[in-house]
Amino acid sequence: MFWQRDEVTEILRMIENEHLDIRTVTMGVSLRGLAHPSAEHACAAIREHLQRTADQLVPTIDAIQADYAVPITNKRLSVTPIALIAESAQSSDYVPFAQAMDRAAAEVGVDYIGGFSALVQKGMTPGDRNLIDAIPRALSTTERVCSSINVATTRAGINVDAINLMAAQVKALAEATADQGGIGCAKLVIFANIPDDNPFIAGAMHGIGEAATVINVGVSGPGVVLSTLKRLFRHQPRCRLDEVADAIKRTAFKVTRAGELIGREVVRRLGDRVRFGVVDLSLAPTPAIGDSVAEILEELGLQRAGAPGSTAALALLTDAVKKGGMMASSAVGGLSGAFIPVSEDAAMVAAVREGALSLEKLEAMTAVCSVGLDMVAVPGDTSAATLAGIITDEIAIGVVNNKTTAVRIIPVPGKGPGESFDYGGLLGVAQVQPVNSFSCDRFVGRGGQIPAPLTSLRN
Amino acid sequence: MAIDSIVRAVTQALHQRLGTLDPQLIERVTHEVLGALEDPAERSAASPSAPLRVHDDGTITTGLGARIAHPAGSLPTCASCVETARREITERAIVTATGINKRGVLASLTTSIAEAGGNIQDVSQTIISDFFTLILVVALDSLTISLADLKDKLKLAAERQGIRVVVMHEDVLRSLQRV
Repeated sequence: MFWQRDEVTEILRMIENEHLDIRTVTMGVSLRGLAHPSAEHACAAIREHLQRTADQLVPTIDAIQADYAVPITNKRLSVTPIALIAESAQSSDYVPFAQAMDRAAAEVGVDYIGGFSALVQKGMTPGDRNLIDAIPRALSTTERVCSSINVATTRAGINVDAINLMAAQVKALAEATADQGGIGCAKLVIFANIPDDNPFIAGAMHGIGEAATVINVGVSGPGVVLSTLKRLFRHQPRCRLDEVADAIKRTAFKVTRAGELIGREVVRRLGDRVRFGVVDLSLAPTPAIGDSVAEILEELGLQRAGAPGSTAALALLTDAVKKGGMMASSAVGGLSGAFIPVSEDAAMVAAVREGALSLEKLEAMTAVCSVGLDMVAVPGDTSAATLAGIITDEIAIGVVNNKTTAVRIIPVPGKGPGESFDYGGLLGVAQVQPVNSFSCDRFVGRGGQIPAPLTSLRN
Repeated sequence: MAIDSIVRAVTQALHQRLGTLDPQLIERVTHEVLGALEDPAERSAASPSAPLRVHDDGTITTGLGARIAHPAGSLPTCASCVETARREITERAIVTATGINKRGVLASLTTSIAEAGGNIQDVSQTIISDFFTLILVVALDSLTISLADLKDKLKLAAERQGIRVVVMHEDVLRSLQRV
C-alpha cells in the first residue's frame, strides 16, 4: 500500500468530522498606480482593476476544493490602504471608494474585501482624516467592505488622538446599523502593529511593501486540535502539559500543511502574475459546536474559559500552534496564533453569559494570543471616552509586547449587560458584557501621542 | 559469475525499478545478501567501499563500477517541494468508500474508475460486521476525464450503492503526512 490505512483515515476524519478547513484564501491586490485627481475616475479604475485581477479567483478555488476534498470556507480580497490611493482625489468624500470596492467584490464573488484602511500611528494626513470620517457611512452603506485603522506601532507609540476619533466612529457606526444590532462594527478593526499580509477579515489589508498580487491563506482548525486533545486524554487522562503542547504542535503542523498546499496550488493555477504570500496559522473558531478555542481551554481542564489559568492555557495553545506551524510552512505570517472572537465562539459566549469571562480577563488573555478584544459586545450607552480607554489599554498591550493587538468592539444599541443580539452566520451571538463604570475621560481626553516604549529602541 | 559482477547487475536492476533509492544503499544491501551466501574469502575481496563518482552527464559510478542515473527523484520533503515533485511523480488520487457491505460495491467503483481511464494501483479493504472501508489508490495520468468529473462519476455510483465516497488528490496526504 502506498499509504497506511490509518494515514488515510486520519486525514478523512480531520476533514469530515473535525472541521479541518482552509478558513480563507485571500487575494491581496495592490492599488498603487490607480490614484487620480478625479475620485470618480479612481473608483472606476479600482473596480475595473479588481475585476480583471480577481476574476479567476473564485472558480479556481472552487476547482481546487473539488480536487483536494479540503473545504475552503471563504474567498476574500484585500487592497492597499484606501487612504493612500484616495488622497490624490480632489474630493474629500471617500464613501464612493468603499462602494467601488463593494461592487467589485460582489462581481468577482468574494464575501468580504478588506482595506478601507489608514495607517495613522504617528499622525494623520488629510486623506487619513477623510477616510476615518467616511467610515460610518462607508460601512453602513456597503455589504462587503471592511475597514482597519492602525493607531499604534511599537516603533511609533500610540496615537491617542486617532483612538479618540475612532471611538467616536465606532459609536456612530453602531448607531448607523442599529437596526441590525450595530453589525457595522463587526467590519471595523482598530490595530496596533497591523500586519501587511493578514488574510483574515475584518483586519485584512494589502501592505505597501507587498507584491502586486499575492495569495495569503488563513488556516483554521480548533476542531482538529480539540479532537486531538480528547483522544490524548482518553488514552492518557493524567497527561502532563508538556505532552499536551507536543500533541498540539503535531496537529498544528498538519493543519498548516493543508494551508500551504492549497495556497501554492491556487498560485500555480492562477499563473505567473500571482505570488504566494503567507500561511496565517491562526486557530479561528466558528459558532459550530466543536470548532471553538474556548472548548480547547475547557478540555485542558478549565471549568470555563475565563477561569484562573485561562491565560496560561491560551499561552500554551498559541505557542504550540506557532511551533508546529512554523515547521510546516516556509512562509508564515499574518496574525498567527489563536483568535478569541467572543461572539463567534459558542463556548466563549456561554462563558460570558455565566459570568466566567470578564472583559478584564479577556484583555489579559489577549496578551498571549493573536488579535485582541475581538467581537466584544458592550452596552449601547457606553461613552466614546470609555470605548477609547478600552481601546487604548488593548493597544498598549500590543505596543509594549511588540505584537499585533486589535479591537473589534460593538456597543450594541439599546442593549445592556446580560442582553444579547444574534447576528447569525459566522458572526454568532453578541452577549453584552458589563463595562467598568469608572471614568477615564480626563486621561484619554488629553489626547496626544504615548511615546514609543523602550523596546522600540532595537537598532 | 564473480560476486562484484552480480552486485553490479543487481544494483542496476534494482535502481531501474526503485529509482528513488540511494545507489550506495542498494549496493550495500545486495552485497550483504549475496555475501551471506558466498564463502568469506570471496566476500571480502569485493567490498563496496569505493566512493561514488559523479560524471558530467549526470550519471554516477557506484563503488563497484555500476554506472546509473543520478537518483535526483527523492521523495519531496516539504510542501513547497510538492510542486516540483509532482512533475516527476505520477499524479494519484485516493478514493475512500465507506458503508454497509453488499455484493458489487467494489465492482461498481472500480468499473467507474476503469471507464474513466484511471489505473488502480493499490486496493485495501476491511470489513467489520458488515461495515466496510475501502481505499483505492488511482493513477491519474491515463485518466480521460478531469478529476472533478471522476469524482462526480464515483459519487453517482456510490449513491446507487448507498455508500459514501470521498476522492482526494494524493498531494493532500503527501503534504499532511510526510515531513
